[in-house]
Amino acid sequence: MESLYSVAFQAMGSPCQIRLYAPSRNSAQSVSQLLINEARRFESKFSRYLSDSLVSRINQSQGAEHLLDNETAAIINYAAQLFEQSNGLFDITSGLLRRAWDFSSAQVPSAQTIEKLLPFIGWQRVSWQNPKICLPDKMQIDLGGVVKEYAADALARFAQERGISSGLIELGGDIRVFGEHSWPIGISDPRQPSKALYQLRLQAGGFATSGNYQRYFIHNGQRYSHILNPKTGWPMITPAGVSVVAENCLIAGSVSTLALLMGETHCLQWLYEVGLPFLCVFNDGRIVNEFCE
Amino acid sequence: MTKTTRRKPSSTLLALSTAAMALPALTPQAHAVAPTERTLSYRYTQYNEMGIDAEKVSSINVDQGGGSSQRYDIDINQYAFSTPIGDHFSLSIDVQDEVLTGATPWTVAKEDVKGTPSDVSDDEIKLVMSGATIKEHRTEANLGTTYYYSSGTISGNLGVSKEDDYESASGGLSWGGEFDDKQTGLAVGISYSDDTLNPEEGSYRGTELESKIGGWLNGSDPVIGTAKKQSTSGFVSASRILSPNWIMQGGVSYTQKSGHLSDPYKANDKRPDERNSYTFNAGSRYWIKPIKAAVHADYRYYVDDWGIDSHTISLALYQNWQKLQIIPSLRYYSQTSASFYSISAWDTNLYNYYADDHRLSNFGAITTGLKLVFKQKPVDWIISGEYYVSGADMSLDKADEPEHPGLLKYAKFTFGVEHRF
Repeated sequence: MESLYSVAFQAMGSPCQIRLYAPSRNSAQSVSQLLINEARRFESKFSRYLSDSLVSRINQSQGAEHLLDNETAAIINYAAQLFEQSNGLFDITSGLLRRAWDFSSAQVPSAQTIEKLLPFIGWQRVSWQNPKICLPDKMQIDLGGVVKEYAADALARFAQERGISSGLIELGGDIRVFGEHSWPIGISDPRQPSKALYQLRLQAGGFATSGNYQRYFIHNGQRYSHILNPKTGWPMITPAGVSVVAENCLIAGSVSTLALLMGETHCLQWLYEVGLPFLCVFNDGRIVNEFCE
Repeated sequence: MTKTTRRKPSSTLLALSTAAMALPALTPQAHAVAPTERTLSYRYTQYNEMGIDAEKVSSINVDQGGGSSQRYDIDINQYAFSTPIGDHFSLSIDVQDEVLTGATPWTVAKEDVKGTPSDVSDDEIKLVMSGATIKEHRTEANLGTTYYYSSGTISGNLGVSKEDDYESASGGLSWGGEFDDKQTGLAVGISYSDDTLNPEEGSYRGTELESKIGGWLNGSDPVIGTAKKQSTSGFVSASRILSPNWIMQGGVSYTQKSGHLSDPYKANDKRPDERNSYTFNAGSRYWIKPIKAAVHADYRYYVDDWGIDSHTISLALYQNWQKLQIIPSLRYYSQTSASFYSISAWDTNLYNYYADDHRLSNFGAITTGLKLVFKQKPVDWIISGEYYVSGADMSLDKADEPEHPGLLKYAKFTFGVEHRF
């Protein structure tokens, strides 16, 4: 008889949890520890904040070519596909814009500051011949938009390979569940995060939410979200939040992020075309719920 | 339960899934996944053949209730249900009930029935029609199951069909597999059907036509009591994802039919008791990103040992607009006639085989269609219409003989609803 065991931890700058059905507390604990180690491995490899991470080393390469391992190459290749599918709005080289947009100081940068950064932004400028990457000098990549979601999937696979039949992995709101159990997942109101908007039950799949509410500031009555257009360097008018359910967490995360990037006017049509179940909250409070259980 | 997919993937989803599958933790796991949803669907189809111009209908048999210029109308009700059973099986059941009313051409004749082809002009060729009293009721039921295992599926199905004068039992077995990270698909299958004919209602026998045919050499190929026919076929098909926006597919099939293949309701119809046919098909599904639509283009070549070969070219545009899918389509078809076909079968019926069935003549056809699918979760609503027109002058091959007056025009209307749960 299997019982449910849970453990909470911190990784990738977010609160995380692992919930596993296991025959004993001992086996749950030993697998959980391996999973936490694996989450930390992702962080140390892909974090742009850790100076000795692979991503930091690529960013410091000053125009030199890097030969990537299979996992990193597949992640970069996936990000390239997101760039294409979003017509260039999802761009792993756009992180440089954070130098201009400091969301803690609530200052709107000058147009000149942004203009100076734009020549160093744009995935099309990167030489990418799988598995070789060559980043022009001063350009940077940031895989934050895909790694956390992918890590949730990887941890789920890792747990299954170690004999866990059913469980839930959550890394900072990105969720992957596997096995026969279904799990209740609450979606909070983007405008009042403490208020639950909807609860769905998820079995064997991924769930992710993207929103403009997580980081923003208000300057002279104008709301500036952290969703920046890599082509202009300025914030975009996006829906307040998009939650998506998919086969895995990576796809759910990508579709919710891309929906946000499509902007308030185009996101609904785009989501319907993609065809995955979603819930979209607009800035005026309007909700389109296509989870429909 | 919230499902992780709703229907067949869009090109964006396909592109992302394909790229995601290269990631170590997302490579497909050890078994093909059985469907997780049940579907219940209903479909109503109305099929109406256009009537024949009165001047093309022979006066033979008019006294006995024949000579109808009306042709077939068919009302079809289809019910289908499919459900997963455990993790590795699915089961589907569908039942179709149709009612056919109208009249059918018995033969083609000159007004006085006799005469050689050289005597015949277009104006003189008339259809000898049955009366509009035929009413057939057909019921068909099919049961299918699929087993999902590592990298493939095995499916089997059994079916029965029954009408007053016809019974059919059929079965099939197929296998499908995916390779190269699901980039390549392969499928093979075989099927068999066994049919029993017991013609009664609507026969020309005992009519004025039969008394005229009495003077002819052979007449038709009579069914005495009951007759049997069998059909065996096999296919191989393959598909390949060439890019996230492009899928190509192709296939070959072979069918052998044997037994009583003549049409028991035709007056001048005697066909070989075996027919071997091959089809070759190729198709392309291409997603055009700027207009958010998929173009489906298909070609099919058919050839058989009765002398018929045909070409079919189909084009359809799958245009998505929010919850609506709009699918205009166009199909062109052209076939040569069977070697034993002649419009003046009353004259050629001294040979071993002869037929004046318009379906065996040289003709071409164009079908235009429009289908609308409205996806309001968890229900899909479907409305479609199709218009078919055929003629000898639309064929790629020009025949020496006049056009068969029985070549069809029909309209088809379908309403459907599908519920997933």
